[in-house]
Amino acid sequence: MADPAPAPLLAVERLAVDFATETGWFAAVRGVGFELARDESLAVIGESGSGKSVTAAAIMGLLDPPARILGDVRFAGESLLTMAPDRRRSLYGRELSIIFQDPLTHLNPVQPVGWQIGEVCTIHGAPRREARERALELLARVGIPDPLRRYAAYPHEFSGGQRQRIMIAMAMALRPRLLIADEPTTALDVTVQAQILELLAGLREEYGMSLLMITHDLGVAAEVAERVVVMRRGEIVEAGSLPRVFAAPRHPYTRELLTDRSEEYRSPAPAAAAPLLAVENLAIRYGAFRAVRGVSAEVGKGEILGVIGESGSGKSSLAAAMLRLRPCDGGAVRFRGQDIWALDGPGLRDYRRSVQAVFQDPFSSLNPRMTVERLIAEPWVLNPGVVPRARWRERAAELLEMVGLAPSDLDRYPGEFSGGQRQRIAIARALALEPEIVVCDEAVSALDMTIQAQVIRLLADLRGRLGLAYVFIAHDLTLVRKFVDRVVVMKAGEVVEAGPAEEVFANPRHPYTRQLIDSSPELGPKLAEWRALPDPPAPGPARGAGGPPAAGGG
Amino acid sequence: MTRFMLGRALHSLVALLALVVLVFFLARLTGDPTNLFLPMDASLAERQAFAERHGFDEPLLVQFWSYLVDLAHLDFGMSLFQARPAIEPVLGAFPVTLRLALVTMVLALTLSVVIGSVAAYGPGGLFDRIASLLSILGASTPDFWIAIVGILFFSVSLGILPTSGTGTGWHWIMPVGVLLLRPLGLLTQVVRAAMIGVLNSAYVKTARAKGASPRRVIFVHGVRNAMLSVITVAGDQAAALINGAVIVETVFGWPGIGNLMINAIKQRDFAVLQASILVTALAIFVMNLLIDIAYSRLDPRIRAG
Repeated sequence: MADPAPAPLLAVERLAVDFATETGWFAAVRGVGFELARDESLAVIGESGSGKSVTAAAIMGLLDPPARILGDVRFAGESLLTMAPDRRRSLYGRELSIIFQDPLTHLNPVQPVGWQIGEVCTIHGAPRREARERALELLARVGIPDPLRRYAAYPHEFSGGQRQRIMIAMAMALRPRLLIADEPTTALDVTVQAQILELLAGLREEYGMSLLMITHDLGVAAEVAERVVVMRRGEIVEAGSLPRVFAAPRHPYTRELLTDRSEEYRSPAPAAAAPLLAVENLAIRYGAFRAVRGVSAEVGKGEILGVIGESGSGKSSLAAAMLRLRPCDGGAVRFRGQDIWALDGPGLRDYRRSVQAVFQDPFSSLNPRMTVERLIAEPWVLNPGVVPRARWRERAAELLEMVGLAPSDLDRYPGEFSGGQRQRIAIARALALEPEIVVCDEAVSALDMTIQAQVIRLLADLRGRLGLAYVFIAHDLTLVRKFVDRVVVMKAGEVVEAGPAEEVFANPRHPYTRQLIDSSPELGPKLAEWRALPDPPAPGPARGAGGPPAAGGG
Repeated sequence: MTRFMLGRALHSLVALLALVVLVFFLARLTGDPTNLFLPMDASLAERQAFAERHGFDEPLLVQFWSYLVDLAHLDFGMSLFQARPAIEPVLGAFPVTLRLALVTMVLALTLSVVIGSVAAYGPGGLFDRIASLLSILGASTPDFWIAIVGILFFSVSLGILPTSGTGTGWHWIMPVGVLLLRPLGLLTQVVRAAMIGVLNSAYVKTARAKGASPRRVIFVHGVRNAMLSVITVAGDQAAALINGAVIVETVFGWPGIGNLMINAIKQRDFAVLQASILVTALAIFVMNLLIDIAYSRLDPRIRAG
């Protein structure tokens, strides 16, 4: 240890990246510095816009002018930014490689995957035959069944998880010393995410390589990394050993990130009453594909029903049926005991008024050409009598304030708001008709963690004040378990388990529920363990009697 | 795949039939061939005899029906002027045009891929700006005007190129040059736009992260993807070339199908006109089919569907 230390594998020094915009330079990364030793695993965490992916792109030489790069990136002592292009290209793909969030767009759609893996070898001088053998070997290693046949298949013929395996095979082809993984599992279901993380861990051990994991998911970071760097708005706000940072965060932002994971939003569920909205033995088909088969569920007044399941489990079809956006191919959806498809006239209007929706994508679910006022007032145009015309603006302003926006936002357009703010507008619109149930179809999935927490807090608060009921559809278990009263677990169109949330999460009976819970990277237990460590490194140089507030947190 | 192709062929057949109807009746709108063919002072009896011999005295629908029946036997009728089956001059002239179109198209595609790709690699740079300006000029200059200016300049003033006819390599330069302008201009624009899209795509990022050189990125990963959008436009342009040949062949006296068509119209030689249009249409349909095949070869996502 006392030897003159060899250069770290990767050293990022005062890195700054500016992008040219119409109004001048935008500083995406500002003075970022960190080191990564051989065999080490470092996580860079932060929310969208924090500059973490730009940092990765700068390391991999993927930023072109007019982007401006200052500072330095050294790989094994050599500056990647100033070395000759030939020399740099000889390192990329061979010594350092990268995998990305969305493997479908990152694979060439018109070349066979085997060829694309082997290409790494041919670029770096291997003969074709050897490249092919290596590609086959790698396909088998990353767990693609029947490599010989699948070698010639194209990216669109694989599932999302398999595509990420192919990306990994490509990155591993020449046994690099450093792998950068930029949100590698964000687009994947939790069970697939768990498999990919396991594969990465196995390969890391086998090849003895360093890992730079870029992620917004603290659970993923905790799973793979030994050290962590927290970024916010282009700067590093905190860095250190992962257990130390997670157990005793020093920076308020890190603390905020961590509380969001552990906060409880649950309020006491109301006493059971007659179900407001009930789904009975529902079936939905798309052609020959049976999306929903015999699903039953119900929501009472003021109750929160969670629906969880992976992509393709039929949960969004269930939401569409509840909202009368799609006819049932079997079974029924009942509102106050009446089949919603038998409703017409005043009954249908009452149902439409009472059951509202908030969708996943706040970017496409708000008409970009309408002002916020018109967006919120539109339901009143369609439902005369709820709010008198003269009070529209006043009431819209009230709703905006209720969801935490300012009345002055009424005249702005959706494009001027951030994702979280748009979702608040969508909620305000859903509340315009004073509904009794709001169906939230992945309503927070597209948002950053701290924003997710804010929106959930808002929803929980509104339930307390207005007695709202929610159908909360999500794939993120961490959120669901802290928010809902009862939960329904769906798989391949069927309900595999249902019951009170605490019970289901504490004692899952169905193996699939257990698998979902196990796959979901959970911080809680680890945090408790780290916080219980005898003496976490002191947060400051001097530790006074009172101690800094962060040390006592937990 | 085979089913897809059969479907396309069936579509083409319907379109071809519609074309036959259109051409037959449109040609009849241009006037009575008897007037044109016989001397001004021909007697009524002579006119009558001529009309009877060629069936012009029958009602139009009857003429059309017998034309269809003949067509079904691959009989395109007799040329009024040349006393031989109408298909013969057409089959003689068509390869001459095809050669001209082929040379032009190969040149246009090759040049546009190279120029467009290089321009796309440095958008906004000097090369890109010059290439963009010239390609817009090329795509929008009227070909008949440039052809006449070309003759005036190279043949009349400088006297280095022949004004018309075929024979030597020199004869090719002006017709190909004029014919080339529009497809080259348009295709360069399309290649450039497609290539800029491709070079900004995520898989190009992956290729660069593998250590691929700029040349490899463009020519191994870029061109094939960019060609997907280029090839559709290229097909249209190839069809337009055969039409453009009418003007260029007339100006330069190139003995191809365009020249033949113009003469057939002037002489009311319906049989030759119909045969040349049908053959041209058939060629365009075949080419569209080839483009569909090429498209599915290039893009595996189409092949599956």
